[in-house]
Amino acid sequence: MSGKDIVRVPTFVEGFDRLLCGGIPVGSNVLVTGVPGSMKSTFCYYILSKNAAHGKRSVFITLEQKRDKILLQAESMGMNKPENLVVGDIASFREQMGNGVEEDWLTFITLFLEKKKEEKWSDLSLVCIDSLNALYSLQRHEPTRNDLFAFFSELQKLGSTNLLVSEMPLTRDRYGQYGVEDFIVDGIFHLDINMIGNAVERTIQIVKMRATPHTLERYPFVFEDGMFHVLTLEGG
Amino acid sequence: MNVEEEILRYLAEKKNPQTVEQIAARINAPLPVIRRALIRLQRLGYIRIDALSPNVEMVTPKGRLTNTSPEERERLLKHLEEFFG
Repeated sequence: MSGKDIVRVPTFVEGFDRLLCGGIPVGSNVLVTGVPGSMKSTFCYYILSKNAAHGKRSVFITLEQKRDKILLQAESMGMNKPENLVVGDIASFREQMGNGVEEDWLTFITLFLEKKKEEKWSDLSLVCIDSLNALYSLQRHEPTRNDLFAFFSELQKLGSTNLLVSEMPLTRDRYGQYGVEDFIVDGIFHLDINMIGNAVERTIQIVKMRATPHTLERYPFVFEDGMFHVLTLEGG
Repeated sequence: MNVEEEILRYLAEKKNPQTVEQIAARINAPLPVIRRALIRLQRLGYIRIDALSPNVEMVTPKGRLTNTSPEERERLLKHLEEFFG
């Protein structure tokens, strides 16, 4: 399978799209996982912001950091919010309404996106949920395997390409919080931090991407001059 | 209790999916009212209607009642819009 005929969403990360045969297959659910500080949120915001700047309706949903903080952080890195990028501040919504206002947040979020797609965002292309762990923590009852399957399935029905930020468990024996996500999602990007002497090296690995031939190598990953770059031996 | 709440309560008592006819036999309301209530409940994410059977089942985790009434959920969804921009 070459994966060449599939419509793909570019990440605009230099060197990375080539590793993905041009980008992420449209309509995929992709887990973006890693330890704290591995730039998961910034990486996702970057992909949405770049695509929005190219006219694609993108929705970044933040559950823990407030909107102002996200925008300030992005601007300090040279990423101004394009008009087509919507930032949903569920952190502030939670603060105002209380967590217990809704006990089934997995359903609530997907319902909201479906409703907005019907009413206003018919061109919805990309969604990021930052983070799945925060979303799970709002559920009154711990989600079952069926709940997670239904949640990912509802997200997929939106037709958008969905980036789902996930804190990697410290045991590093799975990528998603429950491990079930690893099987359900279409793709997994693993962002990591390594210490080399006193220096910090960030790496990125495509653990899984359906319909895309790829290597399992970890590549050095840097942010410079307002752009993410993945450094490969072949260059660019 | 309105028709929607009555339907949710009835479905929560029953573990297995119920047909529209079974629901109609238990709820004291005209069939068109029940059908409209079922469609609204499906749109709000409480139930799933299998178009082929047609069976109706709860989709909330473990088939329980949520603490959010349909009216409240609709209001919350509307309020959430203010936090997106």
